[in-house]
Amino acid sequence: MGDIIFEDFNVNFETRKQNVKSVRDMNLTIKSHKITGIVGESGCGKSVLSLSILGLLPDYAKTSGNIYYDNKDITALANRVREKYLGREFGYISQNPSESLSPIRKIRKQFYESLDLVEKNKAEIEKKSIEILKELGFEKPLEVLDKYPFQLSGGQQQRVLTGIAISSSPRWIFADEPTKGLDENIKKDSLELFKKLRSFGIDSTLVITHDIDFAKNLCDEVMVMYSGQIVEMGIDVLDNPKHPYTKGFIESMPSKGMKIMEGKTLSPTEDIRGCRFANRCGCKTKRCDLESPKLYNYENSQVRCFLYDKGE
Amino acid sequence: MKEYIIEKVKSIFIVLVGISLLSFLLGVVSPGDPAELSLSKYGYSPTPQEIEARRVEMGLDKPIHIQYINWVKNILKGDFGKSFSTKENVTDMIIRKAPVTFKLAMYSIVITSVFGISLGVIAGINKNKPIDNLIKLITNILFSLPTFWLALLFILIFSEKLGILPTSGDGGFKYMIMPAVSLSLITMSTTAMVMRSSMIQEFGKQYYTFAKAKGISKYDLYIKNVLPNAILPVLTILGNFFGSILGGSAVVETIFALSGIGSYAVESVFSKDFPYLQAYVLLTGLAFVLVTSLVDILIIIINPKIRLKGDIYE
Ligand SMILES: Nc1ncnc2c1ncn2[C@@H]1O[C@H](COP(=O)(O)OP(=O)(O)OP(=O)(O)O)[C@@H](O)[C@H]1O
Ligand code: SF4
Ligand SMILES: [Mg+2]
Repeated sequence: MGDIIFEDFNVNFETRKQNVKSVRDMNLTIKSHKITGIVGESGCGKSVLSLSILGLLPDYAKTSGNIYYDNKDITALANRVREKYLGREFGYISQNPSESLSPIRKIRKQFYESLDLVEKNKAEIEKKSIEILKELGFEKPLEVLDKYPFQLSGGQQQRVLTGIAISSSPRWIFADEPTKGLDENIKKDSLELFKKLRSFGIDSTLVITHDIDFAKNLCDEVMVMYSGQIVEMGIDVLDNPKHPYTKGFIESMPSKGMKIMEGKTLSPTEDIRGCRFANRCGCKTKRCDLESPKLYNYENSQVRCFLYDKGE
Repeated sequence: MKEYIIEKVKSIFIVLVGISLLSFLLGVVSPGDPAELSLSKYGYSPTPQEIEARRVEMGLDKPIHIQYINWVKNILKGDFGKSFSTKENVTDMIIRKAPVTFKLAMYSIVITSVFGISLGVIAGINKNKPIDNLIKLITNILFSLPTFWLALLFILIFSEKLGILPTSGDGGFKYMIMPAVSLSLITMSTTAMVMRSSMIQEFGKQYYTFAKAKGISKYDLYIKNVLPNAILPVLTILGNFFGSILGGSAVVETIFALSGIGSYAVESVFSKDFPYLQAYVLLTGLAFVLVTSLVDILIIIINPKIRLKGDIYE
């Protein structure tokens, strides 16, 4: 119960000129009661993947396939029903904190609104929001509540978003780059916070991040996404990468020497027969251009690369 | 905030000087001799001596810039001169007629805002659904119909056929309904269209996605989160519409025989009553500039980012 299961799931953004395929043939289970990380370069489809679980893709996005949650295909639900999951089952911390709050409303209103889902008593709402903001490292929560978003720094906005998302105690939290733009100290606090989300009644977390160390320290399982697909997933992916892309991606991190990977990512508009990483891959073989690799089990991981196809 | 308002007041002043110059020049370039026109009565032609004396009396022998300064001085004293046609003080005429136009404009702006904003919000929320298409259709039709035609249609239906509303004349609320409605339908439609697209534009913003993800009610989402943001551009056009409503009211007042400042302005064009026309242009221009500036300031007041500039936390 509580797992999120993708079945042949695709997301396309069609325009007159082109068809951007942001998520491709996704078959994937994101396990509940765990903290799962998604890493991958910009534009690989991380945000779109999480928005499609929430049902928050823009209405011109075309999707196909299914997403199951609690044994129900949530993509088949009427909007009205599906929206009931928001805040109650699924909480969301969106990507750009400076654009994620209404610019002309005080934090108080935007915060209370969310708590209102679970608590009707005004005094209790205030008490709870102060508690949460304190947990999040704000020393003077009442002052923060009386600010407008633009009066807070990026890090403060980020924490406010987190506070709002967790305040209604959803079962899942989807956090899109919650540490972006935070300085090292606050990042540490943020790590601690995400580790103890369970104490807020949240038992499953999906966190999208560019920060490998953050993912390593936080996540039970990590998925690596490339060009709309999961290319590798497992419990020690970042310590023991197998997929050529994962290896290159880790080496390109500032903390790991910042060795920029050669070549350019295939455009999401382009469909090819073979492996989507083949044009940049140093281990490429003939087969890689002819066939598209599946996720193969290898040691603790699943890897989308023929090097790990043991012909099962 | 303070600087903003000072800047605003400065620019208002400059615009006002511009408008006053324009309306003054209107009198100068107008065909006919003002001194002669001011003396002419029905069936009476003044002698050249009389005209010459009047010219001096009116200061028309002075250089043009002196004339302008004198004209402005008089206006500041509340003196717009005498009407060529009625020989009455223009100021008195305006004071008598302005309330009718003011009432008409107010009713129209209320109809424009209330219906325009509501329809736009409903359409935006229901983008591409039947209700949206219906609203789009109606507003498009209304938008493309000329005001005078609508006014005549209304008279035909509600006065001639159904006999429930009076055709013309000044009176209570009943007399204002048809003029105000016909005057506001175009601006109302435009307001609805702008409101709709402004709502839709907000739906593409990240704060909308985040607010929606909170799982709050539709009312909280659309009315408390989106509307205050979406309405800002609409306020600006509402201010601008005040101008088109004032202009349009000349036509509507004429059709419905309302004795406002607008219907007489139309007459004054034909009767070459330039003192009145100058006053009309100047005052409606002034009203327009004041209203749009007030709206600008209102928007600044609503927007905390400008209001609280520099007041950053920690
Ligand atoms: N609303 C949209 N309309 C059109 N294309 C979109 C839209 N949202 C995303 N895309 C496209 O889908 C692809 C994946 O985008 P996505 O935002 O999921 O990337 P990401 O992995 O989250 O990147 P980042 O790390 O920069 O946030 C990109 O090619 C992007 O251009
Ligand atoms: S399948 Fe081939 S091209 Fe793709 S990553 Fe593996 S070796 Fe490289
Ligand atoms: Mg993203």
